[in-house]
Amino acid sequence: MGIFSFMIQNPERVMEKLYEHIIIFALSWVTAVIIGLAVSIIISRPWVKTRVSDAVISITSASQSIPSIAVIAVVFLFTGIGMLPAVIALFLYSLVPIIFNAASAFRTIDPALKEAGKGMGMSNSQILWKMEVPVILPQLFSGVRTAATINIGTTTIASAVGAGGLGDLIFIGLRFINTSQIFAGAFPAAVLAIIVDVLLSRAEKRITSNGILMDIEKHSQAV
Amino acid sequence: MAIELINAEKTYGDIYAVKDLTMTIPDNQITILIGPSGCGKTTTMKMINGLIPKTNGDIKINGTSIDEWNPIQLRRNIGYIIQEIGLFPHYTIFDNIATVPRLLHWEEKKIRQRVLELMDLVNLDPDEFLQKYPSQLSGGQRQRVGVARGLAADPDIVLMDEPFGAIDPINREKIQDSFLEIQKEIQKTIVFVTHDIHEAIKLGDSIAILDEGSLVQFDSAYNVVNNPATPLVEDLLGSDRAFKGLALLRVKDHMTKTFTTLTKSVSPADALQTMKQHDTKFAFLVDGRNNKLLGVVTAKDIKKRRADSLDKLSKQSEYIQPYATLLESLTKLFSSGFTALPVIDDKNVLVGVIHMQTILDQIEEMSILETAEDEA
Repeated sequence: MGIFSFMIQNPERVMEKLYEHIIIFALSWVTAVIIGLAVSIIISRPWVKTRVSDAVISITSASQSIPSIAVIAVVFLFTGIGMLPAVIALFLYSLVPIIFNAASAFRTIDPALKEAGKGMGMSNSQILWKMEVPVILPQLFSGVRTAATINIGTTTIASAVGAGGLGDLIFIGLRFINTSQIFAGAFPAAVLAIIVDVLLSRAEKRITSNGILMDIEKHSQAV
Repeated sequence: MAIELINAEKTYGDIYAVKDLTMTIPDNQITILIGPSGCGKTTTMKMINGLIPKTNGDIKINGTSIDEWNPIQLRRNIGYIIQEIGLFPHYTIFDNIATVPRLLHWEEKKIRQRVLELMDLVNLDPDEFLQKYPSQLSGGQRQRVGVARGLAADPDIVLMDEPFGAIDPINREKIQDSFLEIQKEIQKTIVFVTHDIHEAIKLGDSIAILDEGSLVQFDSAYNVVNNPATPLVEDLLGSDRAFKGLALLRVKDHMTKTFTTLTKSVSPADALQTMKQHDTKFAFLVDGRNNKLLGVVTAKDIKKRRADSLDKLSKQSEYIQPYATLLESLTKLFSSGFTALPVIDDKNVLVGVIHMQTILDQIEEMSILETAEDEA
């Protein structure tokens, strides 16, 4: 019972921090999804040189190993404390898996498939939206889901630059060695991450074609 | 809907992929483009629907230059069939076939009707396949779907880019046979790219041989085989080109339509009697309602194994399709050990019998022709 005591005694404070946490996450993640997918689509168009997408994939691949706290610290240097630097840092940090997965996925599409579409008289935008995107939906979702989980976890660290969120409870709890307060920050953050991931996984199953899901199953059995 | 290429050229920098190509592709026939890799066959085909824009010259379809078409509209009006990997993995078979009609904004009801027609044409059961995805089908089935998709909007012209290249040899022969039967029905103007000379001879009404972007010979398949224009064409045909002549002769033109059939209800004793009357040592067991082939019954088996029904006595038989060639029949005859093969159409109906002797006579006739030619 002891570990829940802070949550039971201060439900409003926990809810307030959870609310802040969700706002920071939602703002940074949704923007990252939109911008990340847009960038990936643009650099995968035939009129963009392969060198450009090569560079983007290499950069995003390498950036995945940068610690999140470093990104937050650097952004903090330019923008000072508050929610804004946290949102900007988390936005940048979420972009990385989204672009890396999406840009790589666009390249895995068999050129014969694109040519079949073109040869049947599909316009470039029909090829993109009716063929390319549906075919790589699982990879797109994989980046988006990774970004969401990382983002929710990293938002707790953003409390270090005064962004608010559940990190506040964790850091204060750490300072006073108050286990139940640390838990009151960590537990809702973990539950939030799981719920968001489950919802995204459901959305993925719902909008991905069965044909593609079967392909994946086939491959995973073969391995 | 004749396709005319008039001094058509494609250059990449200083290199000619296709050089000064002038040819008229005949209507309602299969025209093969063939040659060594890099000869410009695929480029030529893709220039027709604008997938590769031509550099010089002109290409006219039914008298109108392709420059006057919107390339997207042009492609929607020309069928395009590639290897089976070109099917959309996220679409059901129905949606795959419906692709072009949907691009053309047909009514859903008309699309459904057309898809059913096409499934019948390529001999796939709609109830079994329409809701499946490409990954659930075999390579041969997928290729049939690919053919149906290319024909969906009923285009007058169909371009086929090595469509059967990825299929194993046995199924390739089968799908080629079915394709010829389909073409007999639909009579499209087909431009067919292949690197396989057997396929070219088997399917082509006429064959265009290209080398380094130029046309080397363009003639009927028969003339190409019998009068190769250059050493390159001879090489392409191989040293056994006289034998390849057999690949130009179709089973349907050489099969006999007199043969003995029996149904399951006939008793073995009566069957023996019938065979004696018809002076034959074997007969085909067919379904009495639709003449579908069930197996073959031999007089020897009836005498030897006293079973009470023909069903138990019949054996599975090798068979051949009407559009298969005599060369394929010969191969099958050797492997089956029979001296005759039943000929069945796409729907398993027994339509004739091809005898070993008929084929041997043909070889003899052709080899005499060959010697006579050499002496002259």
